Amino acid sequence: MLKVYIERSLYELAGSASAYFDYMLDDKYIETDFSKRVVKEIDKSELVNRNYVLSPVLGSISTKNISGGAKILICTMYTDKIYRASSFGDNCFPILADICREKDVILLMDVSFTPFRAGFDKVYFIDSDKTVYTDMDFIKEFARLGGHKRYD
Amino acid sequence: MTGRYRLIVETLRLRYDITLKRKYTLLRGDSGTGKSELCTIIDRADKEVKISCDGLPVHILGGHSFRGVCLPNCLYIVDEETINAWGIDDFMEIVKCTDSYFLIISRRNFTRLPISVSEIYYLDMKQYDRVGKLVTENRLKNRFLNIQRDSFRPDLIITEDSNSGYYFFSGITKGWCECITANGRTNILDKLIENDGKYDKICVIVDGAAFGDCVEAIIHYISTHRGSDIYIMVPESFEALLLGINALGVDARILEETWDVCDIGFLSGEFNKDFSTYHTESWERFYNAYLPNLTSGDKETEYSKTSDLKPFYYINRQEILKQLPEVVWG
Repeated sequence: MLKVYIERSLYELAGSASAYFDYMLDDKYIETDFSKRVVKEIDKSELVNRNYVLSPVLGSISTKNISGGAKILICTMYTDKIYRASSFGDNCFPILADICREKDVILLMDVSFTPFRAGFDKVYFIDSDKTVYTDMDFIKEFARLGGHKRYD
Repeated sequence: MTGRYRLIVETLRLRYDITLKRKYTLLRGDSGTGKSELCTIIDRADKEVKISCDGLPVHILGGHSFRGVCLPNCLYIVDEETINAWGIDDFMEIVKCTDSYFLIISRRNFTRLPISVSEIYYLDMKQYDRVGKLVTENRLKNRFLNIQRDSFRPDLIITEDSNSGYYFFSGITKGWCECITANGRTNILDKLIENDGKYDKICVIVDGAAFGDCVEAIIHYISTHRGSDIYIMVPESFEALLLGINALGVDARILEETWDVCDIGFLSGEFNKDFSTYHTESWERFYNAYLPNLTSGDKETEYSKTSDLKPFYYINRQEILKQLPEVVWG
């Protein structure tokens, strides 16, 4: 399930997903079917092996050069780190919805989005202990909690 | 810093083409569309890669160790990774103290920066030019224009402004349309939610020059709600609407080429006084400084943001309202 929070002090955010992916993520997570799917759907590229990606735009690149969105999805799948919602492009959310069907994911909701249009089944607001099931209810709860007014 | 600059970065497979004319421009878009690659290309590039910006020096702002002062009169491109690494307070301190332009690659809402709705660019993977290169496209403002294509007569107007703008719109709509103020741009969404469904057509009037941080939440709400028809008007600012009155004799450059004059130096030269305590990091602030000084001492047109308008502005209201042509006034 996707669990979101607005109050910044509730959790400690992870550092750079790109840095973690590049230097700390075990190689065994990079060649999985899931990671290959992410690179294919987000970067429109083929993850050939843990060192090599074939991109239609950039040509042959290292896995270190895949997009930040692809990296953060892979890190989200294989770790329990907490990231910002703004770190995910809109095209990442359908895959994130699939991750949330397998495990709980916590995000700092620093921007709004339309989770149910992206494929989520439900979203839980940690601050208010409330679960929502529609995009309308999501944006209303987000606004009620002042998510649109917070600044870092 | 003033001016309009066209940044072109071109490699064999990619082409970025963005025109910058305000201090802050945002670059957003789906993951995997090449946003960060722009920084990489510029950071690594030498004469083999085509980079031009109408003579403006282009730098990448970044690195965990950088905590210095930016040079003036440059374009700095900053990626979200850098902002996250520095922390938002350090980032704010640097950009606000520097008289340069910033192209910020981030989906974050920078509530402490005046971001124009016109200057949020989306890099769209689907857009290829004739030679098959990936190009940038500004589609945020188009999203607004698509929402309100036809003319409409509102039943409720919500103004961002609680001062002169609110006084004006509530005055001219008396008797046929309700008018309320949100008391600030971050309250617009709350007012929409509160009044949605109670009125047939709701018109929101905000200062487009500094509404960028609020716009996406509003778009999400409008795209998901079922209730009133909602229309968002984004003139640069209320003062910009007033400056459009011909009788004020405003130099066309003020409104049509603001990028060339939005500067403390221009204001000082124009009005022969010290503007060093002013900030013109947004066009909204520039218009806020320009109009009162333009009309200062003139009994007929003198403008103050915190008071109701002189009769002059109500007499010339058609010239104000024609700048919001979709709205049927009365």
